[in-house]
Amino acid sequence: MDFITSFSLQNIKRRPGRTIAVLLFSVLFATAIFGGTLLTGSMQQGLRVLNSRLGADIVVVPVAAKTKFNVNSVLLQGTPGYFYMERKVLDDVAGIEGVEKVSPQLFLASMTADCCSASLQIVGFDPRSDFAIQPWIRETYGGLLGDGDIVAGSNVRFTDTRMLKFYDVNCKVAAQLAKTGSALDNAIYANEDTVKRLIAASQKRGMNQYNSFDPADATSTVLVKVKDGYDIEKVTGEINLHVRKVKAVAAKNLISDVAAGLSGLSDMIGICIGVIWILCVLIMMIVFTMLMNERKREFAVLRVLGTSRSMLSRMVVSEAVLINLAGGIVGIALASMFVMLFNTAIGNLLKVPFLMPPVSTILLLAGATLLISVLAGGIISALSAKRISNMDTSLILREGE
Amino acid sequence: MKLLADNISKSFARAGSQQKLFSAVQEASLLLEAGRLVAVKGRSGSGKSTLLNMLGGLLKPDAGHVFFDKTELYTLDDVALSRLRNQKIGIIPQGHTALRSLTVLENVILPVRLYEPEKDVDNRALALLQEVGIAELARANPAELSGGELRRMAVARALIQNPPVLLADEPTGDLDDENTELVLHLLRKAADAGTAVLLVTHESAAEPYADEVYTMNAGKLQFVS
Repeated sequence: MDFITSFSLQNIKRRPGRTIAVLLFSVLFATAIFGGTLLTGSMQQGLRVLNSRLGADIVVVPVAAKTKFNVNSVLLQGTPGYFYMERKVLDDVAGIEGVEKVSPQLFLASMTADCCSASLQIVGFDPRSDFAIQPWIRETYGGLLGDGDIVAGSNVRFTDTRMLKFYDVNCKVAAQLAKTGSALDNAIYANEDTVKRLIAASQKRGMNQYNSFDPADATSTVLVKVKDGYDIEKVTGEINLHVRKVKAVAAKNLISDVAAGLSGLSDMIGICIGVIWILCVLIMMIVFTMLMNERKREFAVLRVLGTSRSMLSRMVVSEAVLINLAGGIVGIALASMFVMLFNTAIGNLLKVPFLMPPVSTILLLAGATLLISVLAGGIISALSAKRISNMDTSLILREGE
Repeated sequence: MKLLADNISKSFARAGSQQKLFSAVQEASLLLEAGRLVAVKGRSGSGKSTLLNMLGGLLKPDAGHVFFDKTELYTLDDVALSRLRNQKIGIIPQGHTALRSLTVLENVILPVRLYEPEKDVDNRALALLQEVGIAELARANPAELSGGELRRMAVARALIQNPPVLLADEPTGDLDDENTELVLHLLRKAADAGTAVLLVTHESAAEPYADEVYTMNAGKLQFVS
């Protein structure tokens, strides 16, 4: 180890009060940058994944559902809920010009009661026409879902037996999906026949508010894929115009409500990070200037003993870099721990899709944070060192005598 | 070896005064030679320390030259001048100048470590501390030392490189009689060993130890004896 590094380490070790003061600001700095960016990044990642998982251009729901339910809360926020319309809507929508594919989805909400393992949103899809759920399922499960088989969202808990009970019908968990950070993680997915059985079971027990409906003739939503070259908004308008008792909504508009909230939140967090950044830099500058003033005499003595200006600068910068490196690592670790431990709670609290970015992105962000912390400390201390180097050593030594 | 100040002058800007420039040293010439101890006496603010700092390569004169043998100090760049000061000029600065993050022994060794970190000078440093009478405090923190002990540590530190020139700025200031005698004795001993010593002081106690005595009054240097 060279002299300057060992001298800096000695200064850091033997002046704990001074070191802790600088370290605290450095930790705060890194925590703010890394934690804040990770938070906004996770929200954006959550929205991206939610968008891709929704998989449709247009979602068609019964017009009654639009008035009775907050469809967003069922479709995007995972509040267990269900609504039905006649299945012939499927053909009506398929007949609209510009519609490429249609696929039904059948909803059911299980209950917090003896008959059910948990209160969950149950989504049934038609394996032949589905283009939204199955590509996602195939990422974790390659087999075909048989009757009674279900696929669980990543937040759904089950025992080693992999069995869940809904309205006293036992279902086998065939696979568990990857996390999306959204309400989709709280749902279970099955083929339509399984869900029809569950609906019939719920009706039999008088636990379904649509008791008169024949599940075989029902669908909750129709997912629509629009042909290339057609305007989604126009096709949506055509559906609303020509198909009775339904409300078609462009998926991007569903998402945009969430996105708008997310954008506001991201902006707010961005502003907070910016303010914390500026405050941290200002405080660091003040702290470093105070420290340098306190150490002026020490630096003057070093000059007397033959330390050149460049050596003195390297000593000061090396000390700042070492402290900021340590502070950066601690700050990143603290922010990571906080976001990783509480990511579900944060998502629930903010009511936005919240999904941690991939590990490679997190590592890149950690590296950038570390670099920024070290550079900020290094630059501020280099400026202070330059100022000290230009001071009159003899006058400093006479000060305070 | 000789260190020569040739007609050097230095002025400072003085804030809040009608007279904008304050002349700290005026056309002073002084020769320091091996084996001789030169004392410069004068009141506080008379320009003694400014003269010493110019001789030590810490403060560039406005006019005149400082020669270390044939090398004109202020023609050297900062790196070369710092290196020369480190190896050829031992300076005992005013006041308490120990670095608090280092032990007494580490403080004494520090000038060597700056450029030769691997060089083993522990024994020489301990011998110097023995000579100045504080060997038992080698591992102590400077905060545990008295003013006299700190000054003696500064003497040992200035001598660690065995420099041909030793510049002492008020080395006995605020010391008791016993410590004053001890420090002056150490400086005399260094001169007797062949070092060129400059002692800047406002006290008369130094005169018996000096080969030459000058006074400094309002920036003007005058030979006394």
